[in-house]
Amino acid sequence: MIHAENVTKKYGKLVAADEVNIDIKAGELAVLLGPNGAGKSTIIKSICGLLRYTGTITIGGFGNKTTDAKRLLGYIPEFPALYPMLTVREHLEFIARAYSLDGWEELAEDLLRRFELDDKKTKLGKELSKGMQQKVSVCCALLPKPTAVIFDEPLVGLDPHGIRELKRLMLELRASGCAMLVSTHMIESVEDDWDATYIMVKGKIARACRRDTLAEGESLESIYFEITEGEGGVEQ
Amino acid sequence: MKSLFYIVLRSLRNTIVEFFHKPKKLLVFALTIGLILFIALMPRTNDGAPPENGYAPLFWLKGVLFLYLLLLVVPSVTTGLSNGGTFFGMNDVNFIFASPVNPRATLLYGLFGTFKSAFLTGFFILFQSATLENLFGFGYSSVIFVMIAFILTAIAMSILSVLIYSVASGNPRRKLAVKLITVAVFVPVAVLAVVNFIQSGDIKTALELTVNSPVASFTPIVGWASQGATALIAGSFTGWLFLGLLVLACAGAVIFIMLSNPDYYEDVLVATETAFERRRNAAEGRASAREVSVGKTKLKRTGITGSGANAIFHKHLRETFRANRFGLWGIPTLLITAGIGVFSFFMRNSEGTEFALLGMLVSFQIIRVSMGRGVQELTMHYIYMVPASAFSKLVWSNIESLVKFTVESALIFTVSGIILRQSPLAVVATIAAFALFSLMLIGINYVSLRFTGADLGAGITVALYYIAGLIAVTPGIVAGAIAGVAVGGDLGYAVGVFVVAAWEAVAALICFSLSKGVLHDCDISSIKTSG
Repeated sequence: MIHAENVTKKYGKLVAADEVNIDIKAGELAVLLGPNGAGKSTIIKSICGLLRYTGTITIGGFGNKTTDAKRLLGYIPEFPALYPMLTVREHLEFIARAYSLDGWEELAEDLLRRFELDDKKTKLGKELSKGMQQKVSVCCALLPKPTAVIFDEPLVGLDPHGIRELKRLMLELRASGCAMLVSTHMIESVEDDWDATYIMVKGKIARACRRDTLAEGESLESIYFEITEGEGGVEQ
Repeated sequence: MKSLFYIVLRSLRNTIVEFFHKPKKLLVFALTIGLILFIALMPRTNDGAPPENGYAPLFWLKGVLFLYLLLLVVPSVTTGLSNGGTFFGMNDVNFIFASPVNPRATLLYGLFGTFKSAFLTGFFILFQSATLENLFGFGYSSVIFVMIAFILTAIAMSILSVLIYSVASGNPRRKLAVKLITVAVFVPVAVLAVVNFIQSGDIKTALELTVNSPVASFTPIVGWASQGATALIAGSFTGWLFLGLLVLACAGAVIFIMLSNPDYYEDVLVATETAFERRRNAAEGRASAREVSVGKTKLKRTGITGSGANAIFHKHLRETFRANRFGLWGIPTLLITAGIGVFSFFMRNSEGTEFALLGMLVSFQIIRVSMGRGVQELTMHYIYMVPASAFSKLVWSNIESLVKFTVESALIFTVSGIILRQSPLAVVATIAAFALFSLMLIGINYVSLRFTGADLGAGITVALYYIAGLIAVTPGIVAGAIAGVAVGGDLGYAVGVFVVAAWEAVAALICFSLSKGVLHDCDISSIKTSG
């Protein structure tokens, strides 16, 4: 569903992402890990079509910058970016109209209720705390019922209720066949639920593995520290 | 003190080193400086010969400077009364304020930063040198005097904000006193203008007498600066005395802050944090955050209409009408129109007023378009993610600006056209030329993003944008001038301007067709800050 092949992104001489390959199938939750500056946000933004890059990225078989791909893709950015002069509900209405969605109101109400935003529908973007902005951002991304979702540090700034609800939603999305890529530093937050992981170091995928290929006693955390603190080789 | 010198010198060194590590940046910087100097020093077209009706008298410049600088006073006082001003960045707060560095030395270090930004701002006055030369017959040195006065006033305004906050923070009585003093400073000039008008019965005479009076010249800050610049232009040494007065006032204010309140950190902290928050919002993609006040907004109507890319336009309308009760055309439009009307009225008998007006508005428009809605939209991810064709998203994200600029253009040039007694054809031509110039600028914006990704500092970008706008319109101006001269007379003016407008339309279409893939070929602006 989410496929990146030999993706390279350079800023001048700096290679932020170097020949990155990622493949996430429908119903899979993939985790993108790596230290600060490893290139996680760069590859995520490349997948979402926000950056120029070399290589191939497809969503559901469509080039990631095509209209067909955009219909399938949801994106929750690292920094929630709301329009300061639109209300919470108007953000959802804007998304519904821009994506030409029918019968979106029920799902919108459900999302707002789940993230405890139903009493803040008339609050403007500028009046919301960062955590609330993050919740609206999640609602906006999920309203078009995407079949592929990219989360960039989704739990940062959320309150415990928001974290619990988002984790539940991720599991529901996975059960419904949605492909997900989650970039996070909070390894324990995805330890129980991940299917595949990609660990980035210095712009490269230093290790890509699936949960069912782990050796006895290995965990996501142990792999991560082995790669980032040890001498883990770059393999894809 | 050593540590502060270290920061200044090391930052300077690293800036220079960065230029050599990034030759593209060095080239752009050198080109910008070169072109600014070229525009400032380019050969004059009229060989120094004054126009038929002679140059405008110098008191007009003093009056315009006085009013312009007065516009800087209001936000400075308001800032001082609310958050306080600041010379510092958040990095200074985190590193220097918390360190055992003498607060007085820190204040001087902060002032040094103010000099730098005031100087950069003042540098752009050089762009107006041709207009000043055409209107007043200036040489290069005169433009420099205006620049010096402007820079000194900008520095004085920063100091004033901190001083006001330092004196009046948390004290309603003192705040009221500051407001009263601010108004009282300008009352004598206003009273004198009214008295002069009653006595002479003529607005122009009244304004001339008022502007040339010692009352105006000795009005704090704005009077000193405007009198200083114009006296120096007129060859009088007293100009240096007035500018010296301004410098002394700044020094006095700084000494007062240092001596009366060495614990001034609180006075600058709120403003520093507010400025930092705004910058971070912008960097994180909350594009419009810098435009929106933190005050309460009343919700009268809610909801968004439209479908697909068209919803972007409807969203813009909702945001605009919510932020401003007058919608697209608010107080700024009225102020611009009124200003142009007043300028046209007093310059109605001067030769080339139409061109001077266009020249002034064009500079202004370049800055407005570079910060326009369509460009802001590119700093948030939504426009990239909406499943619609890139071209339709580009068009719909700019419709609001186009409607706004076209109507504004019609309003401004109808008013000036009536005052200058232009033919309806000439007015229509000027409206078309100005509106299409805005369209061309939007197109240039996208082309530059399409091919460069706009990986440049904001100041440099605006300067480059200015230059690109001037270069793009030049073929049209040359063709228009040839056509205008060939036809001659009033009709010649209209024909010439229509030719310019036609060229702008063609240039805009070329730019838009070249930038069709901008949403696929530019990096969203918030990227470089994250890992």
